[in-house]
Amino acid sequence: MRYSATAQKLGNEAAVNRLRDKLLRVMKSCDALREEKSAPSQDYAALIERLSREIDETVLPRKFALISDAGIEATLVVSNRRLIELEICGRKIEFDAEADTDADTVARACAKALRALSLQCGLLHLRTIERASKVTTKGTTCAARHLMQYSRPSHLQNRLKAFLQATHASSMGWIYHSRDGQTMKHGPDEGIVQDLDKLHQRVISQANDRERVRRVERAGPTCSAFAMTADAQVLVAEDGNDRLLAVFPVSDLTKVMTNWHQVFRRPEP
Amino acid sequence: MSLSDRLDELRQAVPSCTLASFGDISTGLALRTSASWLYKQDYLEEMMRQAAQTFALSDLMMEDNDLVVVATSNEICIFVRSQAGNSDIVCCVCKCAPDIPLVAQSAQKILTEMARAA
Repeated sequence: MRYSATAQKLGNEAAVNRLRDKLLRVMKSCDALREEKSAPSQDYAALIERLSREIDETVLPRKFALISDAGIEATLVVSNRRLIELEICGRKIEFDAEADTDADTVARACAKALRALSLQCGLLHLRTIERASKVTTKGTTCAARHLMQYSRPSHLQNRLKAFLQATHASSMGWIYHSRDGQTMKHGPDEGIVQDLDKLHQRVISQANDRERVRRVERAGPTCSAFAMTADAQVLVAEDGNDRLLAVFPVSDLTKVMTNWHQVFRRPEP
Repeated sequence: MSLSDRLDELRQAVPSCTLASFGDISTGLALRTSASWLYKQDYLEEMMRQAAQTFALSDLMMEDNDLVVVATSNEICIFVRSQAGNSDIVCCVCKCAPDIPLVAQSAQKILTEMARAA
């Protein structure tokens, strides 16, 4: 009686059934959990969806495995509805203790690693293997929504390149400098590219000064904009690895900055 | 009208503006601030430092430029410096790029009034 009253109150029998399944699962013994099998995820999106659901519904510390035909490829520790640890092929995904302290950075790193694993292994089963012990929730964790957010195609590709692709058509010239030292240039006007070169040298010098002084700065991607002439704006965009310097008509500034925000915006908590 | 009132007025005119601060770019000090919540002093100083650094880049391109914008993942900082030749600056934080022209215009108005009053 009580159960049906609750179902009526919630107005969603499917949700109640799911909750009941979860409660039954929580009460299962370790052996039973080991035997529990999941259908293989057909692609990366399905894998992340399933994994996110597990993270979202796991309160007590649990260890999960991603299993391919060859055996266990990765293990994950989840507790208190957060992903605590990810280990792929016996190698723990490490985070920079100083830089990677927020959930967004952790989720981004995990999404990238899982994407690479999914491409390498193909079909993967997600399976609960045991209750996790000695779980520490200090620092580097992320929730399911973070993982979902950073698993979207727009986040997995190089976002600065995505931004360049989106704005290339309206640009009057640009220089793209990647971390591996490669520099690409584009611009019908030689003068603009030369000015950008000069500016780039100054940007590098400022970055070196910052490195020497080692100030505490706001981490993450930035995009600075200022006038080059009365009709043109320069953008200096950095994502922590690559750097883009581009010139746009002043009338396009709002559009380009909006575009930047669409590509780099952090999900709302 | 006091400087604090003017900064409050700027924020009221632009709903997405969460911070408007008047400062001195040469010393990096934020002297008056109007904000929707309490920003740490470190944040304000870092914002001033970022303004000085970006204006240094901007001066390389065009010396009399009074506006620079720095966008991060979750906010847009708009820095407007005085055209009166002093080191006054207004720094604003807002959420939407379309608000940039209105913030810049309002901030320049404050700087002009401050220069006149001096």
